[in-house]
Amino acid sequence: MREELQLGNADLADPEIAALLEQTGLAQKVGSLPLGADTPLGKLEPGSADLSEGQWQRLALARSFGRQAKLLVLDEPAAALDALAESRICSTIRDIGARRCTTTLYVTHRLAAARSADEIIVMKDGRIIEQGTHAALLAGDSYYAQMFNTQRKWYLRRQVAEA
Amino acid sequence: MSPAKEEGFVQIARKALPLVFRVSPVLFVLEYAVTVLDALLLVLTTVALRDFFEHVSGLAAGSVSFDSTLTSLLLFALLKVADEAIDGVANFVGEYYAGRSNQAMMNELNLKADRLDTVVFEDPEILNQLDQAYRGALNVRSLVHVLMDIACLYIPYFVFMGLFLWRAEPMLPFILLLVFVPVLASHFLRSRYYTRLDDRTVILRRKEEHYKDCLTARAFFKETRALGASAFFLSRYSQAFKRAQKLRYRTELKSQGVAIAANALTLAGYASILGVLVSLLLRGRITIGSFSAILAATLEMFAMMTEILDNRLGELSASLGQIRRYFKFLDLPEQEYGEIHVGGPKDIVLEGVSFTYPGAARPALSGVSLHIAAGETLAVVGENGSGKTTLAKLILGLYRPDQGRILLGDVPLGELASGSAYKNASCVFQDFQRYQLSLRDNVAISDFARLSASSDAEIQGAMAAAGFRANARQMAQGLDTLISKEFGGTDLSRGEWQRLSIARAYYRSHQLIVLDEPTAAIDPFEEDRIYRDFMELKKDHTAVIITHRLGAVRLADRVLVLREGRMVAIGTHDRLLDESQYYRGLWTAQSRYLQ
Repeated sequence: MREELQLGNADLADPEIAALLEQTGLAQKVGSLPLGADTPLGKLEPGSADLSEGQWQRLALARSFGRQAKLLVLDEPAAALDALAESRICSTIRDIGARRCTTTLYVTHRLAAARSADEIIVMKDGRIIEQGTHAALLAGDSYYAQMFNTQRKWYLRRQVAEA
Repeated sequence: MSPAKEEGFVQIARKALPLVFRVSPVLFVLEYAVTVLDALLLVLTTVALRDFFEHVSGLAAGSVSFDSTLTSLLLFALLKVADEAIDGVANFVGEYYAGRSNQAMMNELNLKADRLDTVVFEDPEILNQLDQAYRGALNVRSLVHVLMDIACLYIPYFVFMGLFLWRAEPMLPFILLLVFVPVLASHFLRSRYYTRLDDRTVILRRKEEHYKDCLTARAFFKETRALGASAFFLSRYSQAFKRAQKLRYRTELKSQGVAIAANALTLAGYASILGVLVSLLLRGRITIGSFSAILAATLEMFAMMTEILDNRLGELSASLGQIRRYFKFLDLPEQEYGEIHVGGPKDIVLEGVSFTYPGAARPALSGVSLHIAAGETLAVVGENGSGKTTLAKLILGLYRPDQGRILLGDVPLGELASGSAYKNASCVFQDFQRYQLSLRDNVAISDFARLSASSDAEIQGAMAAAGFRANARQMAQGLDTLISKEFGGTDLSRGEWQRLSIARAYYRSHQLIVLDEPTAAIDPFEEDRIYRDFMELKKDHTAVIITHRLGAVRLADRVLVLREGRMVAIGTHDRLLDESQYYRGLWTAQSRYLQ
């Protein structure tokens, strides 16, 4: 895991690596590995540990955070993440944005994550069709609002979604 | 790497011979019949040459006529031409046979790999063995070919030539034997060096392969470039390469040292034979004609010896280790299955199921007991690494529990032929594959036996249900459109690939369907439609849906919550919201942003 993170930023030191793994919820996993952050991952050599799809994605996120770049492009970064992790990642992104003045371009189908963005761009057939804040886009009868409501329907408490 | 029970050369040869023979017994017999003929002609040529030399020296002395000398020359020439022609035929048949054998050995290996339990592929040790076996497969025939040539060509030839020399001077064949034995021994020694080398370099080879992919394979290189990590992988690649090179260099040094010692012996033997011949000539024990013939024969014999010992056995000793791994892989234990047929929908029962990946420190699942009724829809939720995908693979019969058992109806899954365990099941994996095939094959690959009988409408039906809408670009050639950037076809977006993988699962006839995060790359409208269609289509099928999108969980009759490999709760969505604090936490984390 150390190398996986240093791949994005060779200067990362131990405390930073520990912080990144903590931020992405991998600290516990690392603790369970025989050689900690130095355990080889995958299936190349004997003694390696493999990760689940979601854990690989967490690691990719940790790597991107560790780059300490001014622009972060995340393409469907939570596709394999569980609900708790996704929510944690969203707040981490806002936190990083505030602290380091990082711009984030977050590509997603999950509108819950889009909601927390400063500005939302809606694309269709290679064109931008709508643009604005969550509140503004939701106010009108926008394509965005339709999408949001389609997804929201599934989450209404105690009410089975009707067609 | 377990030097304890390595197979000897004889054991390997006894396994290889029937395998290669069976490829085409008729051609096999033909090839080596021609080889025997070749040996015969070689010997006759030698005799004819000596005869010709005798004639020439007789002609010079005036005791032999010109005509009979000319006849002996013609006879020699005729035999020589015939020998070359036969040699050509043997080579041609041999090349053809080599191609067919290599294909058959590869096939054998692929079939074997297919019969092995899925879980063994989680073991890096097995992956190393497979890599070596693939190389070994291409050398099995060479091994048999060398052995057959030794039996059919070299032994008859050397026995006859030994007699030929023995008649001139009984000491000569023994000098030849003295040369032979150490050279042969040197090859056994060298083959052990190379086996050890291959065992030590196979990991480096697989690493080289992986780093090369990181640098240039389509699935990797965009991310590698964005990270600016090309230099990193380049240095990793050359590190692995250099380490392998260093090992190769050391082995080569040792091996060549042995070879030089053996060659020195050969040279000494050659010199002794020359010395003996000259002394025989000087003492008048042989004629000048015999001297020339024996000299020519000895020259040819040493050429033959270099050919078999240095070139052919030399190559073989370098690849013997890989051939050994090939047979070792073919001998890996397979699970024995009974032939039981499971017809109709069945309940799936898990009794105290635990599972640990090979080499892993802790179990991925432990003590899972569960009853999934036929026709039920079960959702499985939990954090990353909680064991959801492992559970799916166990239910599908891809992995076998370490403890406890899984029953299909009242039949334990372990007793089913792996084929019949999958026969009734279909699945969409989280890490679905992007098969570089035509659109039709991409869907129909899940139930290929059915393809010839099914209409295009059936395939298109599965695609429509999965929300795969083919636009003009993709469908230029309808279902025959090749979906592959690599092979010059068209490519799809990740979401389109995912829909295609769902279509694939639908096309397969099944009673159980497992969906592992099937809509991660699909937009909200389409996701909504896919889940609704799914519920309509599934009818009386049993379904297991693994998802992090808890909204979809409401479709399920019950929800299973996993945490660190253990069941924490099971029940209806509504009940769990009331009773399970952990589940409520997961639900709220997602739904609060959508209120």
